[in-house]
Amino acid sequence: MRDIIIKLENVVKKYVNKGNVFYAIKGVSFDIEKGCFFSLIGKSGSGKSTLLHLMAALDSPTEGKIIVNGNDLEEFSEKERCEFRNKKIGFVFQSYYLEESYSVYKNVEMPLIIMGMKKKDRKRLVMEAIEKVGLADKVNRKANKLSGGEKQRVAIARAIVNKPEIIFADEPCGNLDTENGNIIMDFFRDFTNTGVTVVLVTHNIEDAKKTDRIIRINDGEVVEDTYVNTNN
Amino acid sequence: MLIQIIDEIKYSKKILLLGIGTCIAIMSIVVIFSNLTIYLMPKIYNNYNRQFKDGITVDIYGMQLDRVDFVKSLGITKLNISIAGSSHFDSASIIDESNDVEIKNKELVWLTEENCSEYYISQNINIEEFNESNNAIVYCSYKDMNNYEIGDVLSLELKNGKVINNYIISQVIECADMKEIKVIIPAKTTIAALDEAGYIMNYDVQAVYPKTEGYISLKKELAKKNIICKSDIDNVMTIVASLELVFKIMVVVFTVISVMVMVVLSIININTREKFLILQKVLGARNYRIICIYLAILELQIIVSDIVGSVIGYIYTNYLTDVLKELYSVAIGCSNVNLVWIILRGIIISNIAMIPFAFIIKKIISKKDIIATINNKD
Repeated sequence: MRDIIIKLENVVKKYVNKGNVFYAIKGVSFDIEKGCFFSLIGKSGSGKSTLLHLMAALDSPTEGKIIVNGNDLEEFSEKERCEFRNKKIGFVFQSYYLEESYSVYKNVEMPLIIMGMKKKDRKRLVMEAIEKVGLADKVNRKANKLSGGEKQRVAIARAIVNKPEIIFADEPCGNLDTENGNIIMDFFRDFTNTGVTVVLVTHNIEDAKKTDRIIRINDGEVVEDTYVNTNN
Repeated sequence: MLIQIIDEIKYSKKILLLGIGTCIAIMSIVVIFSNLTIYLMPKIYNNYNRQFKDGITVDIYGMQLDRVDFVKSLGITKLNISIAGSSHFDSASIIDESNDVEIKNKELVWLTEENCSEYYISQNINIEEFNESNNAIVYCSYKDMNNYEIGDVLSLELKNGKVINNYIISQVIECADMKEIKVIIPAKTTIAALDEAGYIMNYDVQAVYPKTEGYISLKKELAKKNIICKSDIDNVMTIVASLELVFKIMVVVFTVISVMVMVVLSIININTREKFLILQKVLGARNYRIICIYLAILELQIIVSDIVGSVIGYIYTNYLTDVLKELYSVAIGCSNVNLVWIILRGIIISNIAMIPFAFIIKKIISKKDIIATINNKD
């Protein structure tokens, strides 16, 4: 049995707007094993992205506990949360979130600059990450000159450059064609094979079927928990 | 962080250049006005100080005796105090009751520290004790001496016949050069008596203010206590002081405008970089780090603007002083001005003015919400 890397205990997230209370997450509990390729699926507005933001320490739950690698995120100070995101986590977003005026190299380098790493070490890690996603020949190209698939590969390189334990990917193939989408999914599969946990949020069931485990969310509640590729 | 600062400068170079260009123009105006304030104004005042080397003779109206120390504390010297509201005393008279003769139109002299020597008050008289007594001292020529005896009662009486106070003649002093009889009556006792009778006494003072620089401020200070101060150079000093005030206001207003332009452009810049800011937060950058990047850029803009603006302002001030010298032979002496000091002064003033705006920038960056932005973008 594999170690648990993320544990959610009765997590609730509610928003209050002008006296109206809206529950985005309603008491969700589940575990994610280390090295698992895990997907959260559900309709738009079902709460899957909110859940991803909570697990990635971008947001805080109203109630419940989120334990990542043995650490209760609620006990983290703001500084520790930032360090946690910088060192332990990689992010991939649907809209890439690249700095368009930066080159591929500079985009990938960003987490390491924030980390305060020396230039020499940065260069080695950045080139390593760029080579992994197959963009070594476009290292100096500006992000705005890249195709959608290439942009997402840059985003993936940026997500893995700090050698994270978990990658959170929010609809990473949402803006891509099937071919590029498959390439991205293959990258994620490769990362899980090296022990990295990938949490994928998608509304595309075909993408989800390529993961090890699918949790379906509806109206902020887990309605289905399915193990797909048990072999992996 | 330096890399990010450089990258941000590269990215936002157009808006930063706009800010720097605008601020250079404004800062050069600030430098010109501050130089005029610092170097021209003292020159003007020095000219007047030379003209009035013994100080400005000022007339102070509406002062009460207990304000003497306050007036002195403002730097006024050589106070010559006399009773104001002489209409009370045109009608007042001192009555020699023993002879039932009214001695009209005699000068009432109030004994003060300033004028006691003028009337040769005996050294053995304690002025404070005398002022609290009911005694009176009569100064007169030899031929009048027979009319007064020690112990006689003199009354201070108003035109309407109301007796304000009675005094006992304690001394009769012969003064050969005295054409009129002068009676010195005690100030404190008399004031108390007049107060009781419903007469609030004011005193007119002729005095000297030693320098022209603070004359208008002095007038304002006195006006706060309802004391009016006038001199022959009121108009000129008002114009000069207004000129100085305008220069100072220009310095402050333009400095604030310069900083505001810079800050507004920074805020616009920050708002256009929202996505990048959020990305940095997502990737683990703390708020203070992001704030430092933008404040560092703002600081850099201020320094560049100050340096260039100060040099332009300095050159223009020199040109202006040369023109003034040629036209009016007024040597302002700005050639001795230390340019480095002007630049440093500009940087310090700009930074002080920037402090409140820095908090606004901090607030704007801190309030950028990751979740809201990500959800909007996605």
